[in-house]
Amino acid sequence: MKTNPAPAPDFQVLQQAAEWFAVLGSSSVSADQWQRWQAWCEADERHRAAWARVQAISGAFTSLPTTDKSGARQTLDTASERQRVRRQAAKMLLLLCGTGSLGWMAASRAPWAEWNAGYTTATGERREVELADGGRIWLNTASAMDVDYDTGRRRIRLHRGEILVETALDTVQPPRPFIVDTAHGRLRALGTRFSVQRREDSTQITVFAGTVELSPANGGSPRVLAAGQQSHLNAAGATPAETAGHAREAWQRGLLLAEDVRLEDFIAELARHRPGYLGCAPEAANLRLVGAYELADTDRVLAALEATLPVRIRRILPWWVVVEARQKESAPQDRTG
Amino acid sequence: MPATAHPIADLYAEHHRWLRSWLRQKLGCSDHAADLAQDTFVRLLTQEQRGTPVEALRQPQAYLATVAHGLVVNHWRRLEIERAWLETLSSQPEPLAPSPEERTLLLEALCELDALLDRLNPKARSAFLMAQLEGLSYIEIAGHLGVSERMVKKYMAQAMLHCLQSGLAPA
Repeated sequence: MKTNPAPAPDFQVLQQAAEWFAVLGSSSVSADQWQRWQAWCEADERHRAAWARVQAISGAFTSLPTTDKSGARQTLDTASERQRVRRQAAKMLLLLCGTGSLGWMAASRAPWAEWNAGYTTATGERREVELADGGRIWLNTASAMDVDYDTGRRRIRLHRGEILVETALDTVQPPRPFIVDTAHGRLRALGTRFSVQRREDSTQITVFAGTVELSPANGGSPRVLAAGQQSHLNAAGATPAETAGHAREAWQRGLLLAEDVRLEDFIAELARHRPGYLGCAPEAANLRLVGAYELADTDRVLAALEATLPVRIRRILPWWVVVEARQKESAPQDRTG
Repeated sequence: MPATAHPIADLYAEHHRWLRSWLRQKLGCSDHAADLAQDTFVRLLTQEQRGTPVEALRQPQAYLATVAHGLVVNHWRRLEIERAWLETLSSQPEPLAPSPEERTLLLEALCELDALLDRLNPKARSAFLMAQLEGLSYIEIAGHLGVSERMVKKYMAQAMLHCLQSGLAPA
């Protein structure tokens, strides 16, 4: 079926072919112009290949199967005008609502929400998403994001929860910037693996490879984070870079990592992976914890805590669980204080 | 016929049901969802015939969703073009009554042209359509658009270059 394809014409050749198309479409073409066009065609095989494509495109329009050509033009004009208006309205709406939850809700109801791919995870669910360019994003528990690729940029909007991003080289030349937007600002990835966690009043960014540029939503000066660093971004600015741990990456492998953390913080993190309420009593809050726990079974994690720390798990209701300090007499004998 | 199942056949067996329910959520209509799910696999088959083999995919559902999403967008766009065309027809003093076959062919062609011209600047688009569809001269187009004849020539080159680069151009 296939004949040997001619070498693909490069941009410059396509540009010349388009110029010639415009020149020859005029009603007054001089003999000299015809000759120069012919010379151009004969000069190179790629010129002829480009011209063949010009003819195919032009043919698709002139051979439209209707006698009502002006009706066809009117149809295409009307449809195009409506699309232009809708795209503008979509942009306006995002501008008005910001990228916060309101913007997300409004967009999810609007007809053009169909144009963005939306991804969510339920509590306790984790999910991998492969992007059109081969990049990957993992969604942590109870998270929501939109993937919005267009001709100018690759844009992710994180509405809640946490994602781990692994960018790929863009399939388009020149490469489009890869950005992640949250209510607190914009992150621009420069060839990279990094995690983004939406919190109530800030967004935590941790970089594992490459660099990420953070720009606060209110227009403060950007900060660049390198591999091994993390920072908290809010609308006004970003905190100074600090050394990053591996916890913000481990959940992708189904692990909850405790690198000498307070029990209260660990429980808060674990609670995000469980439906219902999970809390830590104040007297147990400052116990410290080291270890790696499987997220797949949060009840087992709680049992492991009970086995290694002076705490007990109180199930007040099936979905209401509190981690408390154990009574003194039942504490392990080898603990002295 | 190779003994092992075709990778697309495997994909179909494993994910067709899922894709259909995913599309049903997006479209709110199970008939369209079934059609578009079929179209998604047809798209994969034609892609392969054009020389892009569909290998074992690491994330088959994400991949299928990406292809299907494009079809959903085309679907809405198609309805919009059909509506615009019906409006054009009804605004004419003596409405033409094309046969269903003619109508399908024309809509198909209009959608292709619309996709080719997507995101082209509106004036270049109008100039190009007046010249290509209605055969107007550059001077006539210049009059309609209120620009110089030189500008029309520029628009024509711009529009053609846009089509050449769209990646959808007829081969």
